[in-house]
Amino acid sequence: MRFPYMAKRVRVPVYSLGGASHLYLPMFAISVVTPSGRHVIDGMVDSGATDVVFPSHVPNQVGLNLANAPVGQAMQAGGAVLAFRYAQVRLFLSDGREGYEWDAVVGFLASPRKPYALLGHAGFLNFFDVLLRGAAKETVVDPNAAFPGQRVRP
Amino acid sequence: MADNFDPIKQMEKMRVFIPNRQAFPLEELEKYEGQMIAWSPDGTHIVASSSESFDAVCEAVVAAGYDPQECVFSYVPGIDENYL
Repeated sequence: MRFPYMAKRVRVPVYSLGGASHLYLPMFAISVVTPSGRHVIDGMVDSGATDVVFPSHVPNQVGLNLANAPVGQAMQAGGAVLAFRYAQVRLFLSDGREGYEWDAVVGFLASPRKPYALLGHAGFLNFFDVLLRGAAKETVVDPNAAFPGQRVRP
Repeated sequence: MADNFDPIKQMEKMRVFIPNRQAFPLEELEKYEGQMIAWSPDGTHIVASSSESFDAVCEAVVAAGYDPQECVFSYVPGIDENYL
């Protein structure tokens, strides 16, 4: 699968990028599916994240009650600690040409701190080989030998 | 899994959504900097936005006559927001 990078404007031209006025990030839409609902939200590939973590509003949208769910936490760059609760859900990813669905244990933030999903190792990078093609401004995502789900074809 | 989730249908939606969103004018998107937004299912326009919360976006999506399950939720970073 191939996903175009997402552009983001910056106020101060980026010196390290030759004065660029925009940054480009490896973000794309991913679906969270449960027996009660589904929600599609952008996630950013993050090789520094141990888990896949979704924003705090998602459980309500997919009918998940996390009151007694296992708790996790992680430290962000800069030292802030994010608390989350784990649950097993089905994830679905497609670039429109092919798609993949799989079950994964992911985290849901306890507070509205991140407005996008983090696609880290457990649940995503463990199952997909990801190539960040900076010049082409696209992310290439391919399932690897550990992928536990199914490929969906037209 | 969700009774109404059809992966083939979702893949077909992404086939339409991704290029349309990519073609959306950046200067138009920049009007939403710092806000959470919901894209229309086909990626041609923004259905709802809020600088407060995604819950507020979801409510606005319903008020606009859309099904939140059909929309794509996103965040437009503020012009001064950089990541490290």
